[in-house]
This record gives sequence, C-alpha cells and structure tokens, in this order.
Amino acid sequence: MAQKKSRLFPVAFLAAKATLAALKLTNHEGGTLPGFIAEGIDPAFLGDIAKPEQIVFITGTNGKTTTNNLLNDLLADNGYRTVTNRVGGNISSGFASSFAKNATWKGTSKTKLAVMEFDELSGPRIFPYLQPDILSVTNLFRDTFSRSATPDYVFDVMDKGIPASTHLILNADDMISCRLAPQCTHRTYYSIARLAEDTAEPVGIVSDLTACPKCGGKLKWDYAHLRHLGHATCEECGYTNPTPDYEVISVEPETGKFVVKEHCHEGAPTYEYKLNSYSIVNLYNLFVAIVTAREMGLAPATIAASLQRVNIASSRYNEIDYNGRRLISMASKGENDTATSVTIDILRKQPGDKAIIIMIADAYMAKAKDQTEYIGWYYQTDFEFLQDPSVKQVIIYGDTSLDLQLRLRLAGIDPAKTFVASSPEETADLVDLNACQHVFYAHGLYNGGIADISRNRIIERLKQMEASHE
Amino acid sequence: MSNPATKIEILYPEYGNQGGDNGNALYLEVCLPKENFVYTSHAATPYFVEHTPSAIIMGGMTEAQQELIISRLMPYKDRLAELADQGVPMLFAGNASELFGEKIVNPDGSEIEALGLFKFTTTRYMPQRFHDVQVGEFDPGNGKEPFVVVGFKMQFTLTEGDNSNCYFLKNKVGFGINKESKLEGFRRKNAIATWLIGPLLPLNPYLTRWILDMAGEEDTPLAFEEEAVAAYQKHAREMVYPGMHLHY
Repeated sequence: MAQKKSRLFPVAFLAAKATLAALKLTNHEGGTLPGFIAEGIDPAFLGDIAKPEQIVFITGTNGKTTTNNLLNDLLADNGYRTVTNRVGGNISSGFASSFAKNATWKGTSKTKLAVMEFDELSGPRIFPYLQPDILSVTNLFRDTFSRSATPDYVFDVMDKGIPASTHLILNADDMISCRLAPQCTHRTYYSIARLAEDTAEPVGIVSDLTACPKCGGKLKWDYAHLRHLGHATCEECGYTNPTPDYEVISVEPETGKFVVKEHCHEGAPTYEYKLNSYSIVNLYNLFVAIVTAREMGLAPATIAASLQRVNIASSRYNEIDYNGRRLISMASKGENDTATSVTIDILRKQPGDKAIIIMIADAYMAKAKDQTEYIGWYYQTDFEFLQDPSVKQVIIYGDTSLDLQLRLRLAGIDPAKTFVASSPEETADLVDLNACQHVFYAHGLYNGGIADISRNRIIERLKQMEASHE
Repeated sequence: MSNPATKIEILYPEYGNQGGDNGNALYLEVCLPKENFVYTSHAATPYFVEHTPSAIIMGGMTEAQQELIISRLMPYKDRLAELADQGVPMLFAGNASELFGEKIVNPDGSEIEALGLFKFTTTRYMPQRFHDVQVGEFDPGNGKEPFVVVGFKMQFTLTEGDNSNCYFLKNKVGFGINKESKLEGFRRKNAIATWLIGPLLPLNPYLTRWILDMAGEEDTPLAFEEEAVAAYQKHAREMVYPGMHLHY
C-alpha cells in the first residue's frame, strides 16, 4: 500500500525544483542544496519523492566513487538511463537532490533505474525512506577518524540498518565487510584469487584486520592483496573468507586482461575482461562494477564490449609527459591513510628516479587561525614506502610540515633527501632535475590547485634548461 | 646506550592503534633498541604478570576490542594496581583509558565492568562524537618544572569521576574528562589514563622524555629531538589562539 505523502511534500518539492532551476540559471551543478532545502521543509522528502523502480547503491570506504561512475558509464553505454548522484552528494540531501531532479512535475520518475554512490554512515537517515534493491560494498577500512571513528563503528551502523530485502554484493576478500547484515539472505560474493604480487600477510604500518573479526583470535594468513584484503583463517574459531560466486582467477598486469570465473552459474563459465590501467585498486573497482552489472542482468559479452569504450577513469590521477619526464599528480582523500598509502606506493613504484612532493595538509586550513587539523593519521600512513632508493627527494609542503617532517624521520627517510618548502613554487624550485627524471605529487583532494602551481613551475624550469642547452 | 634490563611493554599493539595511537610506541621504538620492548598480543599472558616492566603503553581501539581486552586483563587487575602503586609509568591513551576506570555505560544503559585502576565511569554516547584540541599543564612530579602538553580529542564518550587530586593535565584549552571539566585524565603515581588520541608522544617530546626518565632511561637521548620540539612549539603557540578548535 502506498504510504500517504506528507502535507509538506508539495512545498518541499516546489522548493527543490525552484532551487534546481536557480542553480541551472547560474551555471551551478546540482549538489546537495536542493535536497537540503527540501528535507528542511519535509523531513520525509526522500520517502515521498518519486523514485525509479530499481535502486542500486555502491558503498564502501575506498573505491565507491570510481566504481559508481564506471557502472553508470557501463549502463549508459548499453542504453540504460539512470539517475545518479555523481555530481551531487552521497548523503541524504544528495539523494534528495538527485531524485528531485529526476522527478517530473506530475510526480513520476523520469528513469526506471538509479545507480548511486552511498555514504556508509547515511543508512540511519536513508533506509527508513529508501531501500536499495542491490547494495554493492567495495570494502571497509579505517577512514577519517574524526567522522568515522573505527571500521567497527561504521560496520555497526551499516549492519543494523540494511533492509533484509536488499541483495548484497560483498567482497569476500574483506573479512570485515563480508560479514555485513546477516539479515540479508540474498548475498553474492566476489573475490580475487592469489596473485603473484601478493604478500604473505597484510603489509603496512597498520591493518584493520589484525585479529579475527568474530572472536578476536589470531589469524593465519594465506595471502594479502592490499592491506587486509586477502585470505585468512582464524586459528581459534576457524572463521574464514566466504566462498566466492565470482572470482578473478588470472590476471595479466602487462595487458590488463583478467579472467572471471562465475562459480554461481551452471558449469562455472569463465569470461575475459580488460582493464585499461592495471593496479590492484583499479582491478577491484572494475571487478565490483562487473559483478554488479552481471547481477543486474548484463551479459558478459556486452560488458566486455563496453569496456572497450568505457573503463576506469580516475579523476584523481593526472599525468603530463614532458619530453620523457613524467609529472604525475595523484589526489587522495584527506585523513584517509589507506588512500594516501596506496598513492605513495603507486608513485614510488613508477620506473625511474623521482622526486615525490607531498601536499596533504589542508591548504585552506592554513588560513584559519582558529582551526587546526588532526595529524594522527600520518602515523597510520605508509611513509616508509619513501625509503625506496628510486625516490631521490621527498619534498613536503603545508601547514603541518613540521609534523610530517618528524613522521618522515620516524619512517626512516633519509634527512638528506627530505626538504620542507614554504610555498608551492618552492616545492618546484627544490627539485633536483638532474637527479630526478620524474616529479610526482601526492596531494589531498583539495590541493590540486597548488600541485598544479608547482607542476607548471617544473615545466617552466625544464623549458629554461632546454633553452640554456640550445 | 640503553639499559638492557629496560623492558617497555606494548599491550595489544594489534588493537591499540586507532587514530594514530601507534605513534606512541613508534616514537619510543626509535628512541630505544628493539631489545627494550616486549609485545603482548592476542591471548598471550602479559609480561607484567610475572615481571615488572619499565613502562606499559596501550593505545585506543574499537569498542568490541575494548571489551575483549577488559576480559583478558581482568584476572590481572590487582597486579596492574600493584605496579601502578610501585610507580611503574603507564600510558593508556585514547579510549584505552576507559578500560581502567570502574565501568563503561552503553547508550542503552547496559554496563561493562572495567579494570578499576582509577575511580571513574565512562558513558558512551554514540553516534554523538566529541572533538577538541588540548593544551594543558603537566606536573611531572619528579622535581622537574611543569610543562605544557598539547593534543587532540575525538571520542564518543564522556567521563564522570573526581580527578581533582589525580588529574593528568590542568587544561588551558579544551575540555577535561567531560564538558564541565578542565582537568584531563587520571593519574596514579606515574600511571596515566588520558583521552588524548594519536601520536601523543611524538607531539610532546617533553612527555616522552618524562616517560623515558621514569622507565630508567635518563641517559637515552630523544630521537629527532630538534624536529619534535619544533613541531611541538608550533602547536603550543597556535593551539592557544582564541576560539581554537579542531577542523574536521
């Protein structure tokens, strides 16, 4: 039986539509403002607004934005029209904005399908009004301590709220998130089998799975792909990873080709797909998008064909090749040690001698004298990777540079190759372009602008060097 | 050179590393050789049960892990009190502090009996989270001058208890054990329970110096003292700015 709409809904809907129109007139993206206003008028707006017939959410600590965007691209390539929140927000007001934009004035949904990124902590606000048909979970790691506290806390918030009717698509390699919501009986697991690059157990300064998530017992590891994503068994209670329905059974990093075995389908058929740029992170993101698409009914051949046209598009990676010198800029979410560690690991593993410039302090914070930012997450980030001998210089910039400098000392980074810059321009000036073939930037999400200032100055210097040799 | 007999016990490092609390052990590990450390993990009997460690360190963890560790340490609560009264330096930081009060009260009113090293009760208020910066004065009590300790707080809990004669810090900035208090943490001789999170020792080289002194390592130099003091002085200078708060 359809629930009666709030008497405030028409006003809220009108306000959302008017805000959307005003934003469009002023050339602004959707964002969360229309939904914020609508929910301020009608707190049950999310329940009242017209929604598509099928709703798919992508969530998890890391990879949800990339996966959601990729899945939407895949679906669009196959003629599906979706409502998404890729330019909105992944919290309640973002959903409200997206659905308001997608609703006709008659109160119907323009599309039959929603594929949306979902913030892990938004369940209590969203699930009472909106139950996803499919919820795909990438992983659970420690995230911003200020907001998300610990993975256990995020797990507890998610665990209780997910509706029992939701079909869960879970990462079997993540012994934390694979246990989510036992009330959901429709569960699909995906896993990447042992890879040549695996480690015997999780590596890194911290791990979110140092003991059995069920009983606290000691885990015996078979292998680890990335931090705690891998395969292990509890020595005390025997708890282990669930058996996968979809499994990546082989990978060719050089070509990006990988084979997925579908254990859940008759005869366990295998299918080959292609990743445009191999990394374990990209593989996970593409794989969960493929599994979700498969569970939505797309055929393997259709997906494989689409991947020739759409693939992983990382908005957080940018590379300029200047006469054989690579200038890579990689962004990672602030206060997220896993994302920053992965960034540093990717950069240090690039071939050739390089300088790595770190800009992870919030540049805007430095201007606010009555605010300070938390630096504890530096102690959970793998700056030890910078010991790599191909990293010839580490240059740090930002308001927390003194804290970061100490952290680098404790990480064993040679003080002779560590430099503190006082401006974005100075980060470029400090680079020894004779010793470093390449210059890489590991920066916070909102520091792309200052990284660009530095990178442009590097290019200027390179041009000057060329001119002086002519 | 450090004393080979020095043994700093890191309790449950596999759990006590939330929010960067692993930074405390990390800094000590750079100051002293690995022979000076003992790590108690999983179901192993803590070193302090049969020995007198030079110091005991534990950091914050998840709520489920708090309860697990309380159950593991409960048989040894009297031994911990005995060691505290002998003056063994201990640092229980972040929500590890809560294990050593009398009880933890859940949002639903249920209670968890804790180890009782200090007389306080902690209440969990999830999902409400309390954030703050901290600048407080620490009296080392070893004849040395008091000094300022800086740090951060991010927690789901507030605590009730009389720490007027047994506090860790007298705060100039930031709330103490609860929003009405300016007295942070608890102290029993050299044993400290504090809600300050993260790399408290790297942030506070003088506090690290005090722990090393109390552990019998007066002659061991602080690692990277110049860099640590420079970062500490910047925080001490900036965190007293009027209206200072934590951005998140």
